[in-house]
Amino acid sequence: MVESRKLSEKLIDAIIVFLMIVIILITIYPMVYVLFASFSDGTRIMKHTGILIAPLGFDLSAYQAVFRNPMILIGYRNTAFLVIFGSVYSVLMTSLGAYFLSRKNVLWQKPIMILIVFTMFFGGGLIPFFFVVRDLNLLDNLLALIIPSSITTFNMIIMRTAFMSIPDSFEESARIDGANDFSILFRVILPLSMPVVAVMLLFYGVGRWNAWFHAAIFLRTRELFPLQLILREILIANDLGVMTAGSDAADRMMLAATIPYALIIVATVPVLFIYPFLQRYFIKGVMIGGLKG
Amino acid sequence: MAKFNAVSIKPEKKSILENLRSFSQIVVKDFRRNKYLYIMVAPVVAFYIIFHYLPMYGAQIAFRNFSPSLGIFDSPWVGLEHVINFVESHYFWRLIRNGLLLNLYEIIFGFPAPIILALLINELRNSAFKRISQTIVYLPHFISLVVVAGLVREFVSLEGLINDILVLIGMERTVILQIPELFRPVFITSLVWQSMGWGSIIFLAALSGIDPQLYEAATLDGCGRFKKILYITLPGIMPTIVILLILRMGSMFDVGFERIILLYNPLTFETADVIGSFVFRRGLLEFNWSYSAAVGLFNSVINFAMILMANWLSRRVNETSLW
Amino acid sequence: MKNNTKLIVGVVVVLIVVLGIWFAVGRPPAEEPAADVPAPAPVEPAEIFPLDTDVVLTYWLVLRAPHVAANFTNYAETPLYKEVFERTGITVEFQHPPEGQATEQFNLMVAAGDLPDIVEWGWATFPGGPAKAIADGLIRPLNDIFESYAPNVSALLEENPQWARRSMTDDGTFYMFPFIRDDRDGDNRLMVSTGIFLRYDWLTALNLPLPETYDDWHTVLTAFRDQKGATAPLSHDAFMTRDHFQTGFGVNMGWFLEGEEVMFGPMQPGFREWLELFRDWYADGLIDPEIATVDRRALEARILGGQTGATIGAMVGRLGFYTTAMRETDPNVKFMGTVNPTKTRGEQPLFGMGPLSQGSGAVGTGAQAAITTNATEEEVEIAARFLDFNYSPEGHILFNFGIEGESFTMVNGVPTYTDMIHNHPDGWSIVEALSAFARAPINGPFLQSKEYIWQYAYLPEQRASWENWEHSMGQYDGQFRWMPFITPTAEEASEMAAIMTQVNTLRDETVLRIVTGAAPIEAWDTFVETIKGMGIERAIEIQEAGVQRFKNRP
Repeated sequence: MVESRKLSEKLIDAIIVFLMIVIILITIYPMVYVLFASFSDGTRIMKHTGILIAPLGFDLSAYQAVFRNPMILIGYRNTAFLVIFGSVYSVLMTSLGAYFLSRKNVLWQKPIMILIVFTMFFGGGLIPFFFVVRDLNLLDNLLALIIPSSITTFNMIIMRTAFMSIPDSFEESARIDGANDFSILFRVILPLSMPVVAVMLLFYGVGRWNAWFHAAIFLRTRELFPLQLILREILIANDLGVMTAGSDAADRMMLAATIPYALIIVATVPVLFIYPFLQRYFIKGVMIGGLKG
Repeated sequence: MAKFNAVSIKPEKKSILENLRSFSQIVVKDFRRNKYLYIMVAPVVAFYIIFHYLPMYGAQIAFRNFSPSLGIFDSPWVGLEHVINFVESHYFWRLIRNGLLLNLYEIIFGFPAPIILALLINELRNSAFKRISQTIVYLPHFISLVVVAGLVREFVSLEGLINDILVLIGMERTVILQIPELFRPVFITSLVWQSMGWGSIIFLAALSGIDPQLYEAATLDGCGRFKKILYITLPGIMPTIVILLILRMGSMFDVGFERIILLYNPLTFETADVIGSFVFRRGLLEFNWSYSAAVGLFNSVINFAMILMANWLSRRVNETSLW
Repeated sequence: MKNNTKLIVGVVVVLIVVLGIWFAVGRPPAEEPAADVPAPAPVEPAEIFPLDTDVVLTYWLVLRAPHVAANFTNYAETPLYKEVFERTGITVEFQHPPEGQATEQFNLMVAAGDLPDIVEWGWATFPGGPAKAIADGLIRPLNDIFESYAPNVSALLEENPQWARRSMTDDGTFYMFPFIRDDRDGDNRLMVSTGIFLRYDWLTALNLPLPETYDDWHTVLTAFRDQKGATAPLSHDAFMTRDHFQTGFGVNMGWFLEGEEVMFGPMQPGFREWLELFRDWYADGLIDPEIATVDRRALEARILGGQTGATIGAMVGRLGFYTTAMRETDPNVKFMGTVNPTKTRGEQPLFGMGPLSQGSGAVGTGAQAAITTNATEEEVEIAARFLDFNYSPEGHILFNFGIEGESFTMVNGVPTYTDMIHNHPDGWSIVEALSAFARAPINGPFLQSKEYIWQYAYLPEQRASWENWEHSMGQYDGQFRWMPFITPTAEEASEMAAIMTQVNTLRDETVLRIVTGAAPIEAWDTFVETIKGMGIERAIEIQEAGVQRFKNRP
């Protein structure tokens, strides 16, 4: 009996692995295509249709065009600041809100929850938002990219759900020991919620990494531009949708074909290194530590 | 859900003053017990007031003919004119129908996909393979929409991969993107393909919060893989699933119009044109803040109604809800 | 039930608290309207440059990509404007919106009342028209300012009333320093730049002449299909916006004038005929089977890959581009433009290539430099002189050719671009090189010179194409058929947008469905009926009102 169970289990394991490999191939292919295209010769990419199994020719001009821009390093620096400080600040604020929304027996909790969720649907639009930021003297200031967007309601609701799934016994035993809400949040709840904290850091981090719209409307000084805004400018600046004439510098014109791909690689590679760091928090058994501890 | 006493005695009707007094007693008691909580949430509330409620006066541009040079309060008031204009337009029902259907299909196919993916990954034995898969599957999320749409168009083009397969199974080459009936499948597939990996992250995190002792106990009881999934895993992430589903219902009438614009064309307007893409085309003729605001408000009202309904339903059916 | 009451009360209380805070903080102050500036006293034009002034002007405009933005982040860095600052003695602080966000930033600027002294924008398309921009207190009426401080542009507009009329609002107020393409003496060099073009090397190999009639086209496209292996002989990415094949039937995709009446092209019987023709061509495989989904990249791939032999486009932007790209691998590739087809040979096509023809569009509708009400009296004078410099003989040369000795030299009295432009040391393309020294290839507040174009579009086939396209401009009966650029009022604009979004949607669907065979030709009849219900007649009325106002301009 035990033998055949092992066999059927192994069979299902194999099917699962097979499925995963298929899914991996399907999901990695676009990135691979983008990677190959970014190293390809522009003219050949323009003619090409169909899948790519290798770069067409080997051509670094797209990357050269991107990195030639002196603002790239500044962009990286600004974005790094935004990602690190912005995410930490956001996760902090979000935790405070999620903690409040997840407790029991709080009189004003439901009304506040409804009014918060309401903001997911109704808003005043761009212009009044702009005025508020301006009146707070945050224009042309990197903080304008952190504070007005500190909390994403969606994320806070997720965190609240996670907090709510922690058994009451943890909170109760902490209160018996004389802890107040601050300590409970930071010493009990958060450590037990590391997976969701990791997810929040990831979501906010990636959000800040990709953000450009607020930068476009609030920032005037170029030295403050985040990476994505600069990359967008490069993309549009090299977009030959308008006019080019025949000339000897023909290869420059072919950049339009490969630059979008190079930009994606430049913008994505750093993010790919964040996730593995956060993955370690996705291990089972975090709760056990809490119980025993 | 309220607990009922076995014996309910109708209390005497109190006077208004007495009601107020007992209510204020409750308020005071609550503040005393939860004062740290209120202190902690104060910055959060301040955030929402300053950045969400203060600007909300701008919502009224939906009821005016807004001109940036005049400012909001000096722009003429037109009431529901824009909304009526929109609702009476020739294509109104088609736009609503298309948006609704696309959302419905996305929920049916796109909502379970990240969950199933997370479960699959969770079942992998080899931890290295597990970690690699997690990183790879979310990669499509980072590819800009324009490039993804370009890839999709190539796949379904006459000389593309999909048509090659069609030929292999004996069918004729077709211009897939020009056929209205095929728009939804193509759209949904590209959407799921791009978002399922990223969407699975939340579920993977939720999965790691399930007590391993439960699994150990189940193994001792002789449970197989599927029983474990059914009785431990799924219930364990059910709160997450329910909340996400409720939230999803709140965007029932939103369809990412960028993706649609990149994939549609006049031949597929019949199934592809939604509110967002229609307003976009109108915006090319005349950039009208008020009209877009009015349409957006219309959208939001319906979405909000949907989420109220979904939340109410969820409260009746299980323990998890937004409020 | 008690729970629900509590909940509602709770929400209301929190709402009251929120509202209380809101009122306590107060509404944002209303933007203050700019103070009125009295008309300046007239001043004698004189040799005034360089000016001696400390005033620094602020100037907002979109930095065009790829022309300038590829190499500069601020216009002040370009050799062109450095030279302008030196010669005028005026310093200007340029402000550029981030690429792609121009409209948002413009709208925010306007809403916040934060306008710089000079704003270069498409004021002609401002909602409600330029008259509204003036009425709302955004930009200044320029008639007096022209008289006092802008002798060059004033003279230019006086001598050329056809340009003046297109630079003013319906009641005769000048509102911007115009971009003018020099079309005097019936010389259309700058007025035509787009048309149909095909693989001339294929035609030569097949012993076929340039097609002129629809029958010619049938022969040519069939030969492309059968003998050159073109799977999409005729293709284009914005098929719905092109009129070149329709004009031979006396119609276009939008509006035109028939005497005093405004006509909507798709409603006319000629349109039905054109649809039948294209439907037959599509069925024969002469038109790209994926015509509805082709985008610019796909079109490029088809042209470069030899699947398409005929398309529509600009002689510089597309024809030149394709030629250069393809000659890397096949030096025999040659494209050539041809006339809009007609039913019989030698027939003069009813329309030209677009609104640029027949004098409708010498004055550009984008990038118009206006002086805002935020500029003080002193700044107004400096700004006007600064912009007027561009129209002076010196400024004219500078803005079209750049700096003598650097970007051009005089050869037989004609400014001729040097190697700096044609063969830039850092490998810049001709667009980029020229855009650093001049604004000729883009637009702006100046008069574009006729002498620039053939140096810029220097391939012989570009010129030959132009000649064919110019032929298509044909002033039939000397009558203007294209709509002039009219400025609807704000209400009219909203009404038009509401009607036309629906009409255009149905138009596009109907055209493509008939052409690809998804619907029978009778769908056109249904279309005509349906758009009447959508309000097309009201739209025609609005258009006619606009034309009337245009004709009544002083």
